[in-house]
Amino acid sequence: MVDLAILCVDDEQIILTSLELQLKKHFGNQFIYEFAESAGEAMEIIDELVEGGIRIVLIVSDWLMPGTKGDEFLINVHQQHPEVVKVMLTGQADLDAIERTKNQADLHRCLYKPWTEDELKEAILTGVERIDGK
Amino acid sequence: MQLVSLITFLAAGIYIYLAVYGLRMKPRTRLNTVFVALCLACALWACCIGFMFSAPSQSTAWWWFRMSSPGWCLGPPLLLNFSLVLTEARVSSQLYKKRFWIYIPALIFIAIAMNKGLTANTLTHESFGWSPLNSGQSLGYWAFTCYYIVCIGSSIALLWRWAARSTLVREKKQARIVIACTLIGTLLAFFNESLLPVLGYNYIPKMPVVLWLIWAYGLWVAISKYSFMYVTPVVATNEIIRSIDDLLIMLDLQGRIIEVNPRVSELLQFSYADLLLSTIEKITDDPATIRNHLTRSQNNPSHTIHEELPLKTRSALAIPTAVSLSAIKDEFGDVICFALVARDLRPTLALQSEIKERIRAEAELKQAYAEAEITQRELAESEKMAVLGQLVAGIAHEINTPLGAINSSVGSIAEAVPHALEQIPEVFSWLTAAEQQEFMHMLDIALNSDTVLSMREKRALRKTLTEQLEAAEILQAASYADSLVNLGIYDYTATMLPLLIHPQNELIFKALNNISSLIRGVKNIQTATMKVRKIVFALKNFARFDNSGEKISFDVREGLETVLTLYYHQIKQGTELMREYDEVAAILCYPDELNQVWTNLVNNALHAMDYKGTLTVGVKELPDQGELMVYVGDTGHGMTAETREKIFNPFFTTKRAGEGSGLGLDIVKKIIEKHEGRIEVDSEVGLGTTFRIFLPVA
Repeated sequence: MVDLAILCVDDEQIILTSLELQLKKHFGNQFIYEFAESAGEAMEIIDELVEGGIRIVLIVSDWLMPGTKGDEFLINVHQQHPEVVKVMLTGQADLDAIERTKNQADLHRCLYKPWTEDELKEAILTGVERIDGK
Repeated sequence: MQLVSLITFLAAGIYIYLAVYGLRMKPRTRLNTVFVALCLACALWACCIGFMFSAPSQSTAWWWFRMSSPGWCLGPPLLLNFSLVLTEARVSSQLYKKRFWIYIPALIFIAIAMNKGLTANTLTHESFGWSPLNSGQSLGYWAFTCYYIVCIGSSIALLWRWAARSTLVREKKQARIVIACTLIGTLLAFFNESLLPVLGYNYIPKMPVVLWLIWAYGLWVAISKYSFMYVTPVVATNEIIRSIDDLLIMLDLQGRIIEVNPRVSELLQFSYADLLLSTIEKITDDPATIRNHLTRSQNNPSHTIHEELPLKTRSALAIPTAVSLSAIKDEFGDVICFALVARDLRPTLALQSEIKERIRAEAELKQAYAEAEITQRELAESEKMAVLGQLVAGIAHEINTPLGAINSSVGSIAEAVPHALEQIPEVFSWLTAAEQQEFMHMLDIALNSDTVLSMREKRALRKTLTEQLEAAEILQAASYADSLVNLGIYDYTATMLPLLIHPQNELIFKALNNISSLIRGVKNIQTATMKVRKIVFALKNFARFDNSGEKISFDVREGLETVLTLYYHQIKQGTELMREYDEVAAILCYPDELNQVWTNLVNNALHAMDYKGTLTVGVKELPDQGELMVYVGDTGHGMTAETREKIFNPFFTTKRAGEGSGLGLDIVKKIIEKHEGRIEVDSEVGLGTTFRIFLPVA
């Protein structure tokens, strides 16, 4: 039974679908993939997964979303689950927000839309390695 | 010829001279006409009396005596008339208008005197010639005497009153002279003509006409010396020369000053005596120029100069003046002196420099204004660019998002295709016909599934399906449920079972997953492409119309939608968008400029509520007013009345420095005015703001 999960958060479904296709292609059944369209939904999923005994290894989050922004969301997650690797995927860079997330949520990578497959793969692989290394 | 005749003729000559003098006075006034009449009357009288004295016979003398009567009869009323005219302004106009009545008694007296004598009825021959013998106590004699006294007395009374009331020294002096001379002349005449004979002294020649000369002389002095009846040219000229602001300097042929007006002493600080007969070197540092002109003027009297030349004061201060010099000639055309007129140029120069200063200031102001205009235009442009800049950043994100999706989906598809092509024949080889049919059915569902589910819905469906599969005792239910939901299959049916429990089920579903990835990838690309297209379309619409200056028939809703599309990304972050559109017809407008209006209003609205709240955009038709109303409302922080007053002022902004130029609403207002529309604003602090724009439909 797979008990490692990757969570993707973005308000755009097309991004989530793209991520799903890419992640499944590269990592197949190594992880459970969950997708949320907002930070609120993501928090629910995190709670559900944690309850179900599933370990979240990595979160890929958009920055500019309705309601809670990516930086705030990742910082919140970091306070509860500091071990989770955080990756930001954004189409509009707000340098302050990225800096804040780096400092306060130990941001692992920040990817810019449109991202390349290799960038994403590298971010996830290095992220997972970080966990394994610990 | 008798001596008395000669004296009398001389008197006649003087009277005639005075009459001519009076006639030549210009302008001819009523007053000098009366004076001339008096002189002529006296001349006639003197002439007749002159002939009377030396007449050869008594009858001839008597004839001359009668002929003299118009002279002495008209004298007193003429004096009264003269006084009335002189004091005209200060006597009642009634009296003045009826002044011809005073001549009636005189005419009666003349008639009597001509006929049979009035003051005398016969002549006696004395040593000096013929002398009238007074009629003594005759009625005519006393009547004439009364008339004589009344006329002269009234005249003196009038003059006296006139002088008393006058504030002018000249008039007082004139009155005094006239009164004195009249009294002396007429009283002596009366004494000589009437009183002495009555007292019995008949041997003295009766020459009242000569004695009246004193009176005529008095009038003449008053007239000529004190400018009685008019201002003489000499007086006027002197007065003008004295009072003009220019400096008048008369120079003799040697260049010596022979006369100056008071202004010269005043300005150059020399006394009149100082200047007199001193040379021009005293008053200028550049005498050569003047002397040069003097020489030239002397040779050519029509030569005049107008030049700027500084004059020198006693304290050696140079005063800039404009000098004109002209030669003055006597009646033979010889130059006798020069008139040098100098005008103090300091006020003119001050004025000129002031004018120059003003012109310069005006030019500066114009320049500043032009610069301000350019700055304002630049600011207006930069405001547009700032709004556009924000938009572009948002739009970049908007485009980058689908681009990212397309990019990654393309990669996924590219890899899935060869796998699928490889896997399908292999999978098919393992399946029975029924199983193949089920496989194809599943693909069919996947290909035709159009429903777009949210992630939450998908998760719920997956959960249900997982439970169903678990109920059917299928292993790895979650994984299969995931695959099935992605294919668009949400419910478990028994027909699936053979595939789910097939020995090669893992590979079969791998193939199915690959194909569903393909389908989803393609659909994802389609969706992303649509998004990009929509944005590009909006961008194109935002500024697609040329600036031909012609209005275009355009549906305002289309413009609003364009702007909302461009702002979609910013709106969706926490703003609820309400559209309240009436079905409206297109109106003639400048669509690009209206887009700028909507952009400003939407931008302000979002800013006012910090991207959280409700944005209401509406279009209403107001057929009664022939207008279309477009409104943009927010639920932001609103404005105070004070702020509301100023929002349309250029450069007014509530945003932080650098965030807004303060020209947004100024531009909005100008665009609306260009459309002959109007803009209204409703705002309440804490509740929000609504802008309403009314555009004429026709």
